Amino acid sequence: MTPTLHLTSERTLLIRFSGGMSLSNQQRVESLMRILLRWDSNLIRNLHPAYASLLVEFDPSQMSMKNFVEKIQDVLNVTQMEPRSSFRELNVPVFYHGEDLEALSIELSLSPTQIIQLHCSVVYTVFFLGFQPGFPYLGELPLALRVPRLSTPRTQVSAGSVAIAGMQTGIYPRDSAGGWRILGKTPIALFTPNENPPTTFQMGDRVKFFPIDEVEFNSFQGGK
Amino acid sequence: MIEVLSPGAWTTIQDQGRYRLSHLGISAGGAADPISLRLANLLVENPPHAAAIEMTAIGGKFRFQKAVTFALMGGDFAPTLNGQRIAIGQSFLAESGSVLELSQARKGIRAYLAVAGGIITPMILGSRSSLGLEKLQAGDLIPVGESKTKSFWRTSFELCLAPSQILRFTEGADWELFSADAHQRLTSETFIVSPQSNRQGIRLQTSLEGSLDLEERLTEGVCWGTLQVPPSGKPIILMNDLQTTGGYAQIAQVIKADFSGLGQCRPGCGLRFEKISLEEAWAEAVALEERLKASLERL
Repeated sequence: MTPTLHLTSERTLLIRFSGGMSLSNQQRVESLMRILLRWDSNLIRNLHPAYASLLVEFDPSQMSMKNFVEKIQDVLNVTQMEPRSSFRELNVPVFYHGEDLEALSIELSLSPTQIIQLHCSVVYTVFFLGFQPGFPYLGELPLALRVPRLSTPRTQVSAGSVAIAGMQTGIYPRDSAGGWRILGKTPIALFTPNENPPTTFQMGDRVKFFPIDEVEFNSFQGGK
Repeated sequence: MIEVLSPGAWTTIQDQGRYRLSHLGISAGGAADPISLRLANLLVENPPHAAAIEMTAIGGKFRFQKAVTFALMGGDFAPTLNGQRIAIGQSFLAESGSVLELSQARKGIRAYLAVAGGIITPMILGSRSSLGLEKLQAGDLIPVGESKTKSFWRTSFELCLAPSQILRFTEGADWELFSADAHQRLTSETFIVSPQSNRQGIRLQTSLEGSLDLEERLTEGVCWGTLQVPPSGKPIILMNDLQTTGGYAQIAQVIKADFSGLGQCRPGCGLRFEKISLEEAWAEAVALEERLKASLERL
């Protein structure tokens, strides 16, 4: 289970944990990330967490590559994993009326109501934020809902779209291109650059979806 | 204030970008050619990472509402001040009401306009850089900070603006997933830059290798300079406005010392890649800093 370290350039170190996507890897990546966020901000320039890896951008003028790798190795050797005992729980309203709901109903042999119930049946974990500002990679999706992404991504997915792909579900923070299957839309904002923190979700949060109707969706948006 | 009379094709405010926010999905942003930004600032005695105006492919037209020292650095957009051609890489005094106009890029693709005192639009998340969507519009008034400039400067620094370029790289996170043939082709072929390139990434039209088994590859972090290979086999070099994570295999990482060349390569440009060691990559970064400092000359 020893993680591997790869210097992919003179200023980037990729730390990979074995075992792929799992809750224990999520906690490993998150706790390492939180440790490195407390290090000197001139040394640690950026951190890119993912399912089973952490990409660290560092400044080699602050510490040589060799010393940096050794220091990270020390952290990995001695630091006890501290599984979090408590999690922030967020309930996210969704108006399930997405572009792909009908097609998925046929593809999965489930009624739209069953799809919605299944999507709302699980407490998801925010594995990490990536892709776009505040985009939460949520897992794991119930087995019955697992479908590949679209073979040709849509050029336009609207902000707030709640979508699924493989064992993941996520929410698009802003209008963009995207290849995940859209189940519905949430009225909550995911990226608020003038607030601290600027993103609604944080790594490690627990998330549950609940259905709302169009009237509730509109009143929610008006209230924001 | 600087009044935007005509914005050009894709004109934004850029500084050094945002740091320590990638774990929230927020990319660094910042000047696509970081060397030109720094030099333009140094020419007007600003801190090296003050905010400036970045133009791409077609330049803008600006009126200085009060007298200010300014400098242009980057590609050659045939700039004129009140109708007179002026040099790139040198600071000038613009009288109040002067008009600066840049036309199409003749060499390179990005130009930077720095003004003494810097541009002081509001900071968002520690930077004045565009968050990806906001372009300057005709009629915009851009606030400029107080200037203490005493001297005028020139730089002899030679940017990579040629229609063919060599980019140096180190082995990427997935180097070993690629065949020996792909490794060999990466360092022997010329890769043509696609017109679909932008501040998110430089797309290459030449195919490297297709049919990697991508289903098995988990999403991982990517950063500026990452050379990733999608199923089409046509590599993409990620730029400042990148997505912070990606699922494509990463064959290489362009060294930081060559980022200026990345920001200046235009559609149709031919890129060649040369593999170097990590130690060489760092030595290049150090040597670049020294060349930058040595290139400045007081007028």
